[in-house]
Parts: sequence; C-alpha cells; structure tokens
Amino acid sequence: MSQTKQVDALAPKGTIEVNGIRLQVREAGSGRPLVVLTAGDGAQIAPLLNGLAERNHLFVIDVAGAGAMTAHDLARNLSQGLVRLGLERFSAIGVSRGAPIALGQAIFAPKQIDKLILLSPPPLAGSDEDLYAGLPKVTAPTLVLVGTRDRSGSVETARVLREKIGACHLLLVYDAREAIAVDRPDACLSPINEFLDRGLEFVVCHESQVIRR
Amino acid sequence: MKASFFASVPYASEVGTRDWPAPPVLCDRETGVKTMSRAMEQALLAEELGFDWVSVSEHHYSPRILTPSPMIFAAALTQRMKRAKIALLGPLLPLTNPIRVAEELAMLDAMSDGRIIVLFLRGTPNEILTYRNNPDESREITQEGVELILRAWTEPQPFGWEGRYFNYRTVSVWPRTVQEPHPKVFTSGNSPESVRFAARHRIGLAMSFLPLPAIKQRVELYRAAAAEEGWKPTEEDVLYRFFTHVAESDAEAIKNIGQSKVDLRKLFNINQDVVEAVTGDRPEMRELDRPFLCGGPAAVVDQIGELRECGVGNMDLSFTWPGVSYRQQLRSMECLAKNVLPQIRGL
Repeated sequence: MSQTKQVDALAPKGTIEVNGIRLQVREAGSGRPLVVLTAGDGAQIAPLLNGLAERNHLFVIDVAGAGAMTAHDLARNLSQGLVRLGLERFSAIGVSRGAPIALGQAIFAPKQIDKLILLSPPPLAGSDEDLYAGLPKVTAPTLVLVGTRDRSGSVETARVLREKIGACHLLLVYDAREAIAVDRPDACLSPINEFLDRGLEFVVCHESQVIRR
Repeated sequence: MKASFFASVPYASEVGTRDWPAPPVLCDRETGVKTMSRAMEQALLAEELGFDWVSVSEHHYSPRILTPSPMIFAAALTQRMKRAKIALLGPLLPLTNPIRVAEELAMLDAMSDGRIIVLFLRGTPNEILTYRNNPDESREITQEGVELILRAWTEPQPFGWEGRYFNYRTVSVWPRTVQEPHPKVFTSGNSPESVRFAARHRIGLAMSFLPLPAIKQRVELYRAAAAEEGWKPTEEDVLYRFFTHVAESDAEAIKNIGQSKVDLRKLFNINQDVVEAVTGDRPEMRELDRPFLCGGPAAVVDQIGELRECGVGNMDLSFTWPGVSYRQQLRSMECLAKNVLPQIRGL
C-alpha cells in the first residue's frame, strides 16, 4: 500500500456503505490511525491535514452524502465499514458538522475509539437527543477546541461536553472563528498532536524553562 | 459624575533624582514605612470626605508611585474602607500572568464584598522595561490578556487557552467574583484602536491626560463603534484620569501650583534612545502647564461640567503636582469634597 506524505495527494482507500450510499475513504500519511470525519465542511480542516499526516495515518471521510439517519445507525454503519478497511481501533477527529458524527462513534462504538477530538462542535440538534443522552457513556479521552470568536454556538456545546463527558478537556483558541483551523492552524495542530501523544496528560508541561545554560 | 481619589502613594520625602529607574540606595527604609502609612491615611480621608472610589495603579522602580503591586495596597484598603469602591487602574497585563490577575481580583472582590473596579493597561513606556517585555507587542498582549481574564471569570467549566502570547492548559478560577458576571472593567481609550477594542468587548473606556477635544472625539468613536456592536454605552462607561488642584479661590490655586509644568514624557526620565524605542505614538504623552482641574470651586464645577458634556461619567483625580505640598494636597481634597462634589453629583 502506498502512503503519501502530503494530503495534497490524498489517495483513495476504499468505500464504506452507509444508508445504501458508498462513501469514499481517502488516506494520507503514516503512523497511528486517525479518522477525520467531516460533513461537507472539509475545507475547515484542510490547513491541518499536512501537519497531521506527518505523524498519523489519516483516513478522511466526508459523510455529507449519507442522507438522514439516526446517530446510532450511522455509527454502526461507519464502524462496520472501518473494520472492513482494517481499522479496529483508532482516534477520531470530528470537524464542525462532522463533530456529532465522531461523537456518535465514541458513544455507540466506544471500544473502537482511542481518543476523540472535536473542532467547533455545533449545537446538538433535536435529532441528536440520543447523542446528548449518551454523553456520559463516552470513555475515550476527549479534546474539544473552540475559537473565542466563534458565534455559531460551539462554545455552549463545548461546555455541555466538558460537563457531561468524564474525561473531556476544553481548549479555547484565541482569536479564531468557527473555521478554527483556518484562522489559527498552528494553535490547533500543536495541542492536537500533543493530545494524540499523551491523552489528557497533555496538560503537563515538559518543555524546559531554562532560558540560557 | 463620580469622583475617584487616585492614591498614587508617592514617596513621603524628597528624592535626589528624577531618573528612571531610581537607584534603590536613595530609598530610605523608614521613609518607605511612612509612605505606606501616610498613603493609607490619605485614602481613608478620601472615603470619609465622600469620594466615590479610591484608585491605585501599577508602576515600578520609582519613588513617584510606590505601588508595584496594586493588588497588595488594594487588599489593605478592603480591610479599612467600608463604603467607597476600590479601583485598580490598573494591572499592567504585559508584565503579569493574567490568570494570576484574575485570581487576585476575584479575591479582592470577595474581600471587599463586591466593591472592585478594574482598568487593564499596558503600562507607561518605562514599565515595559521593568521585566524586559517587547514594547512592539504590548497592545496585542494586553488585549489578549483582557479577553483571557474575562473568560477566566465567566467560563463555568475548566478550560485551556491557546493564545498568541498566553498558553495555559488548565484554567479554573476560584473564588468566583462577587459581582456578576464580573467587576466593572475598563480598558485604555487613549488610541482609536483601543477605543474600538473596548466597544467590541462591551467594556468601559478609560482615558488619561488628553485634552477635551480629544476626549470628545474618543467618546464619539466609542459610541459609534458600540452601536455597530449592538449596544449603547452610558457616561458610567467612561473614565478620565487627570491632575487636580482646588483652592478657595482661582488666584490661590494658581499661586499654589506655581510655574511648574509636567512633561509626561520626561516623567519617565530614561535615556532618549530608549524613550524613542519604547514610546511609540502615545497621545497622552505631552506637556501640561497646569492641572486639568485648577481653580476655586466655581471654576472647577464649570470645568467638570465641560468634562461631563464630553461624555465622561467618572473622573479619577490625582492631587499631586510639582511644588504642591502634601498639606496642600489634603486641603485641595477637602475643598473639592466640601465645595465641589455636592454640586456635581447630579451631572
């Protein structure tokens, strides 16, 4: 299997059938498996993909074409499809409208999710009630990133996630709007990679504070 | 109109230098003790005289204003003052850890039962040298610090902060402030860019030592920018700090202040190369030939009326002026409290 370093050359990996529709899975990079879930808003994560691909084997899936279904059914379909692609356990990033999808994976397929990262999660809508009720069932260490200039309701959602999920960390990204990774890519990439490395221990600083030896 | 007494805590004796930094060897240890006790007495007098606030500020390495930690002096005030508000004007955010500032202000708000007011500043040009911060970034650092402190006071859950100048992974401030959602906050309005920042964040606007037309122009900009953000500031949102000397008559006031001028650039009497490197475009840095408020009660009431017409609702009064003795300062405070304050309450 050829692996590309640059996501400018995202390679087709295969398809996952959801709701009778085949969703394209594309891959890049090498390292620990990291599933990137978007829902028509892939441009919001694009500035991070190269940086993530340097240390992770990315599997990028846009679920926008899957049509309406419950979070539970979508999670089951995705979970089975990813197993067929050889992904038994992985970390997941949900971007904006892809965040509830990633959250669904962590609630309904908890054994499959190593760590969960949510960027600018939107308000949990009425159809996501089973997501809301399922928040305490999330066992994966969770990192939620929200921009301080985001006016889309993400911060309110993030507060709920921080409160209801047992091991959840909320990170406010200064001077970023909803497209958080577009506005401040480095400010997102660094903590995400640290979180993937160390989980919630990423709050501990190990950088030397020596100024000059 | 609210009147604030600026407790500048000046060194209680003459010092043989105007340089900055002033050599520590010139600070007599016992005079340091006297300075603190006299400043406390003066602050308590201000409360007794009816001033609405007593304010403290942050300055370093100088006998002019001996409150490098305004928090410490404010903490002492919370235990002695019973009525007036305590205004910290203000912590210098480029020099500090803003989370620590949020924590200490929250403590002070609890210790004073909700009487804290705060103005966040970036510091006069010399201050940036105190801990060797970069003057080119001081405005951006201050603005990020303000946003971080407001979040630290209002976020209900612990959070991390991925800033440009500040990076914290764990923020969760206790105690919460008594005032809800937080104490009244001002930021500098001395430059138009800062005015827009204050409007965008719905916080108060503070100016110092600007002439009246500049105040009027800043307030108009503030109102217009606030309207764009969907809110309407009142005079309570506008603060102005300036020098004051009030006497029984205009002639006596003029006589007391003498011929002395205050060059605000030279107050920070540092090497000229350094001044040019750190001052930037600071409209408040200019020469003053007399205090903004100066005269007998009738003249001063008129001057305050002009200030009010510019949109100012809070005046922070410094009674220091070169050549004006401590005793004259006290008389000036008493004269203002007795003859002026009753007439300006309704303004």
